[in-house]
Amino acid sequence: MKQNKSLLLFFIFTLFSGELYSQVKDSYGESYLENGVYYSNTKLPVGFRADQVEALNSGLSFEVDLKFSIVNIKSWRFDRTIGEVDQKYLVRYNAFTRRYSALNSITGRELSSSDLSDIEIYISDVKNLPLIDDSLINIEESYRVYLITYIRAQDVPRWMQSLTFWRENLDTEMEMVEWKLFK
Amino acid sequence: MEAIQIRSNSAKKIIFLLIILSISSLVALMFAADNPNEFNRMQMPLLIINSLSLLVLLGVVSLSARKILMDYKKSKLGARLRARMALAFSGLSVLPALLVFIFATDFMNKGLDIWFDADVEDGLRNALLLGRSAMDDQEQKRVFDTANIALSLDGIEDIEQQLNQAREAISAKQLLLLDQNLQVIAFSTETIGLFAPQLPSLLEVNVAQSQQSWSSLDSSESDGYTIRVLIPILSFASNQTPLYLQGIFAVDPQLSMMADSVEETYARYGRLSFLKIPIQYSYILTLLLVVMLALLLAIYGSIEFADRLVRPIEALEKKTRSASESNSMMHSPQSDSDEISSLVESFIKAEKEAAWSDVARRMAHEINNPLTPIQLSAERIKKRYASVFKDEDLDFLNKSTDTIVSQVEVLRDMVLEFGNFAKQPELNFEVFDVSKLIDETLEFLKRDKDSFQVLVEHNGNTFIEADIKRIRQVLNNVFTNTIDALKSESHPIIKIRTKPVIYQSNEYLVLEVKDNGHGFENNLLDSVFEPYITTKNKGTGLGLPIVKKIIEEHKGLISIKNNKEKGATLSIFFLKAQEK
Repeated sequence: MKQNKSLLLFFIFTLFSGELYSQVKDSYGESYLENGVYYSNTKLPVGFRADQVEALNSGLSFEVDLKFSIVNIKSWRFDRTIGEVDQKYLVRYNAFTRRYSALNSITGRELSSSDLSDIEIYISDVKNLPLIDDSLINIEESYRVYLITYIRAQDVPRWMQSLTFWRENLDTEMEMVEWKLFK
Repeated sequence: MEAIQIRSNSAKKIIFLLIILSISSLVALMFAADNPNEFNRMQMPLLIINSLSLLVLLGVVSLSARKILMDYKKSKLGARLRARMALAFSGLSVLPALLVFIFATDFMNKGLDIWFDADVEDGLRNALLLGRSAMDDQEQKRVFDTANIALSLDGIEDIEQQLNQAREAISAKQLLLLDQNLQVIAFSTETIGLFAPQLPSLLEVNVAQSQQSWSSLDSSESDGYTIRVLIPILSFASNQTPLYLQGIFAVDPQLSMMADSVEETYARYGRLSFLKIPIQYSYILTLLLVVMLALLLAIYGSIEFADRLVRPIEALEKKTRSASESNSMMHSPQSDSDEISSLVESFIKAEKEAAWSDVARRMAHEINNPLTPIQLSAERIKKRYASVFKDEDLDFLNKSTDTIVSQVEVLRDMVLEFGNFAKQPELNFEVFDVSKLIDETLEFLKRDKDSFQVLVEHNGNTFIEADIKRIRQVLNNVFTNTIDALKSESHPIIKIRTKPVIYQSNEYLVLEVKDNGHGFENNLLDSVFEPYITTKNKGTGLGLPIVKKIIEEHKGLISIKNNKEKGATLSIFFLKAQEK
C-alpha cells in the first residue's frame, strides 16, 4: 500500500514537474538582454526519424517549426502569453545533387549538406534570436520562454495520413524546452 | 401500417436536402480531382458531408428495414408483400453496385500500378544519372580550373588582386582563400555589395586535404545550381598552416533549368510513390462512399417504392376486411393518383355498386311479393266491415285501410326504383334530339308541381346516341330532385343549359342543371351518387345513384358541385351522336 502511494506521488510529480523534464533532456535555452532586446540561445535535439528520412529521400519536404512563446507567469491566475516568435525551416533532399538543404523561410538563409546530421545540427542550434522588446516586460513579474518544435511533412494532407494509421505519423511534435526569460 | 418510421415531411425534407448536398459534393469532388491541391483542400469537408449523409441514410434505411422485419415477424397486414418487394428491388440495386465497386477498384489499382511501373522509375533514375553525368563533366572542368589557379598563386602578397584576375579568367562566381579553421584570408566575388561567404564544412575540408580536392554540385533557392570546388594550396602554404582555395561556379543556365526539371519530376514521382498506398486508399474510400451512398439511396428508394405500391393494396385489403366486419360505408383508400390507387378505387367502387345492386334486387323481389296480398286484404277488410261499423269505428276503419293501401303504393314505388337500380337492361341506342326530350320532361313536370321559373338554353347540335327511355328516366329523376330541392325557396329558378364540349378527346353534349336551392352539405358532396344518401324526408336515396348508373352505362360522365352564390349545379356529359 505504501509502495503504491509512493509510486502515485512520483507519477504526479513527474507529470507536473517541467524542471525535472528539461533536466532529463539534452537541450537547453537561455536568454540575455542586449540593447533593450531579449535574445535567446537554444539548443535542442532536432532529429528526423528513420521513416521521416525515408520520406525525405523519396522527395517529400519537411517543415521544421520552432515556436517560441514568452509567457507571463501569474500566481493564482491564468498565465498570459505576451509574445510569440517562429523560426521555420524547409528541409528537403535534392536527388540531383544528393544533398539535403534547410532554408530558413524567415531569414532566407539556406544551408546544404550531403549529411543530414549537419542540417539537424544547424536547425538545433539557434543563436542570438531576438525574442521580445524590453519595453514589453515588467521586471517585477516572472516570465518564461517555452519552445516547442514541430516537424511536419509538406504536401501530405492530414486525412491522407489518417488513412495510413498503421504507419507512424510523419508529423511529430518534439519535447518542449522552457527557461526563465531572466533570473 | 407504416413501413418507414421517419415519415414526417420535415424529416423527408432533411433527407432530400442531404441527398442533394451529397450529390453536389460528389460532383465538386469530381471536379476537384483534376487539381491535386484543390482535391486535397476540398476532400476532407466533402468527405465529412458525404459521411454525414451516409450515416443519416444508413439510419433511415436501418429503421425502415427493422420496421419491415418486425412487421413481417408479427405477420402484419401487407408486411410480407412489402418485405418481398423491398428485398427484390434492393437486391436488384445491390448486385450492380457491388460489381461496379469491385471492377472500378480493380481498374483503379491497375491504373495506379501502371503509374508506378518499375520501367517508369528506372527511366526517371536514368534521366537523373544522365543529367548528373553532364554535370560531372562540368564539375571536373571546374576542379581542373581551380586546381590550376591554386597552383598559379605565388604568395600571400597581392592575393586579392591575384584572386580577382583568376576569378575573371575562369568565370567563377566566387573565390575564397581559407585557413584550416575556415577563416577567410582573402576573397574575390562577382557580387557587388554585402558579401556573405558560403563556407565549406570541416568534413569537406578534411576530404579536400586527404584527396587533394573536393567538389560538389549544389543548389539553392537564390542561385540555382552551382559547383563548389575546394583545393588545398600547396605552392606557398606550409604543412603547419594549410590554406585552401574554394571556387564557386554557376552552372550553365540551360543545363541548370533542365536539371531542375528532372529533379522536380523525380522528386514528385518519389513523393507519389511514397504516398501510393494513402492515395490508393483515399480513392477507394471515395469510391466506396459514392457506391454506398448510391446503394443506400437505391435501397431507400426501393423501400419507398414498395411502400407506395403496397399501400393501396393494403388499404383495399383493410377496407374489405372492415366491410365484411361491419356495414360501414366504404370510402376510397388513398388520394394517390397512381395507376394502382385508381385501380383499387375502381375495384372498391365496382364491388360497392355490385353489392348495392344485389341488395336492391333481393329487396325488390322480397318486398314486392307480399305487397299485393297486403293491399287486397286491406281492401277486403274495408269492404266487409264498412256495413258493420258505424260512426267513429267506421271512420277509423276507413282511415286505417286507406293508410295501408297508400303505404303499400309507396312501397311499390320504392320496389320499382330498387328494381330499376338493380336491373341491367339491354340498351336500345338511337340518335335523338335530347333538347326535345328535356323540353317534354319539363312540360310534364310543370303540370304537377308548384310554379317555378325555368330558363332553358340550348346551344349547337343537341343530338345524342342513347337509349331514349333510360335518358328520359335520367331527366325525370334529375328534374324531380331539383324541383324538390327548391320547395322551400320563395323564388325558385332552374337554369338548364346544353352545350357541346370536347373532353379528353371525346365530343360530349353537356347538360347543366343549375338551381338556387340550398345546395349540398360539403360532407355529402362526395357521396350524393351513393345509394341511400338523401336529404329528403321521404326520399329513397336511389334517384341520383340510378341517374349515375344510367349515365355510366352510356359511357357518359356526371358531376355535382355547389354554386358559389347559392344552390347546386349538376352536369351530365352525354356522348354525342357520331355524324354519318
